Amino acid sequence: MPESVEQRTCRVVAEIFGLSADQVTRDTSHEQIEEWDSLNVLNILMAVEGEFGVSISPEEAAEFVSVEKIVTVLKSKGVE
Amino acid sequence: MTTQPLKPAEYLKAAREIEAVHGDTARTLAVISTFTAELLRPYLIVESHQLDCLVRPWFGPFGQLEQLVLDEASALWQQSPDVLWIAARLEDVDPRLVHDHPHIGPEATRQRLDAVAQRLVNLARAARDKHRASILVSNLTCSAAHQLNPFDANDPDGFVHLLAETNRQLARDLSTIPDANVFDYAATVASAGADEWSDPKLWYMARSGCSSDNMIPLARAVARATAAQLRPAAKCIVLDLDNTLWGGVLGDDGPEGIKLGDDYPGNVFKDFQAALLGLRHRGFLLAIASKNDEQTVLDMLDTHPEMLLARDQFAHIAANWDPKPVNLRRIAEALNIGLDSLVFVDDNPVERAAVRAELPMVHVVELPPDPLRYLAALRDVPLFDRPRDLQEDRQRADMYQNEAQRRQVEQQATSVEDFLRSLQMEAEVGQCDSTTLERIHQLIQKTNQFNLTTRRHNLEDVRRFAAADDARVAWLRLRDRYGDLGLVCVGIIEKLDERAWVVDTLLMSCRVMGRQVEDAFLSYLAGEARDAGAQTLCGVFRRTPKNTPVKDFYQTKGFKPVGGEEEQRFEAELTNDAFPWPDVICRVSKSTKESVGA
Repeated sequence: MPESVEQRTCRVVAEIFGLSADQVTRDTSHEQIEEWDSLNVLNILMAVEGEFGVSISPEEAAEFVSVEKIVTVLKSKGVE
Repeated sequence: MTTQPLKPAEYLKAAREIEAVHGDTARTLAVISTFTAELLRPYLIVESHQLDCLVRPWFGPFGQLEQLVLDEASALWQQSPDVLWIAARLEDVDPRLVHDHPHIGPEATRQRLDAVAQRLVNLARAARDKHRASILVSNLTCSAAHQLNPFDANDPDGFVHLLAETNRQLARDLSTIPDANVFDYAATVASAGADEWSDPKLWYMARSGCSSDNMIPLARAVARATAAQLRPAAKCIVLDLDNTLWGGVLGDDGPEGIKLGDDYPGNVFKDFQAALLGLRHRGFLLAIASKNDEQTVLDMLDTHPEMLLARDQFAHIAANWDPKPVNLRRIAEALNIGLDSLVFVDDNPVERAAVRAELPMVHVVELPPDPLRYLAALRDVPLFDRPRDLQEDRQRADMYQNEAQRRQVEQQATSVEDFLRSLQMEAEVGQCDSTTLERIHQLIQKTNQFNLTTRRHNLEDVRRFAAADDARVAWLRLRDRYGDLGLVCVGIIEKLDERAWVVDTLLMSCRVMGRQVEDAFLSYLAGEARDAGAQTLCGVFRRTPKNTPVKDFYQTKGFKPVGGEEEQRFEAELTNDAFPWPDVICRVSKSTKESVGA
């Protein structure tokens, strides 16, 4: 079965923060990960654009505080 | 490389893995910038690792340049960087200038551009005074000039022309600062594509200097420039012939059948030869390793009208049926250089694999199957990057050529003494000054074989030795009937106590080994120590994997071993007749030379 949007997002977030795949879930957010700062929001933005081939606006990037929120933004852009 | 580029998250992951495994070998690259350079971190790590010259990047807080450089206690200098990249962009330091230009006119624009360049030069100079790090300074570019006014270049005072002049002045000024070089940011942007270089979103949101995609070419260019500061360039390009220097197989197709000339596909190979000739002019030796009949090859080189590379432009020709690794060993030996300074160019993947397997230290160029891509492959060889071609580098190819003639004479001479006399050697000795400092530093960094202590003193150390009353930094320059060999010996001696001076550094370029040049130089060093009041000269030998040729140097010169394991120590009395100047070398004084030159 191909990876779902949520699984792919979890994988990308895990790669950015050097975590293993099972350490990142839908609920993972900036509150648990200390390094989830403004610089890494940019890294998430670039990584998500590279992974899903979409363009993320600064306003949408401001929403990037958890895996769940990232998935919501992606789904709103029609990513399946 | 046709592999898919990594995605951003994969770069972050790969960088983390590289750091975990190889982090302790990394050299520190400090970056001070007028944009958010920190986003480059994973890219710099991955790209520098691919070049076998891993860096640990450190980023100064954005926008702080003078604060970090001028304060000796700043976080920058606490990193003790190996390389410092001063990364300022015109868009950041004078963002409105390009738009003001039509209004304020060329003179005022020039002044503002000069002010930017001067600021960068002052930063580099201050950094040089504070620390030994190699310095890279981004030059300036401004794609907006062309984008907003395609006829800007039509005006002799157009912005692009003024900017080019400023970049030239920047290069001139940096060339007066030891170990400070231009990082060609302008060319990096142009080659990646100026129009899409930056991403407005990342710029306005986060002051990122370039788009996500362009982090790769930027990091790659910086990693290459950094590697060129930290390691020596290659010395010799070893070339295959058939389907490399010309199309077709000489042995089968004959000189008239092979493809080389002014029409396709011969012109592809002719241009490739032209590029190789250019590298030779920059001081890289050329050699041949080809499975061919030697006479056929020599005839081809001597008589084919379309050959740009002639027989006497090759320092060594190995045309025979032996395996290539055998011939590469032969070439390294004949030229007296390390295998790790060879670059091997061969269209045949099997030969490349054989060399890779047997001689992993040789740099093998991954020549693509299509000859139309040969030039691009040459461009991608980082070992041709040399920040500055010194006079000695440019002449090197000729010097080795002369060496071949010397060897012929050697074979004719009846005794070594006769041979050495026939060379009519002239040596000039002297002490380090601003004109010799860079060459001395270069030899200290790269000499492996004839190097008694292999202490890689940095520029600052050398300057300190040179300025000290109780130390001498000495050199020897050699000339013979075949040409100028340049500055070939470096020695540093230092006062140990009231009675004795010690040889901290003694090294010689291996191309003058076996000519009693070391005796002449030792005689000079001993004389300097004696004149300074020493009665004893102490020698030190520190063993490395490469300096076995000189392991018995001090014993054979009459020194007595006085112990030491890691650092073997030796002593010799400085009587008046100790260490005579060898009579096969004529000693010329600097003043003589100057009077000749005047």
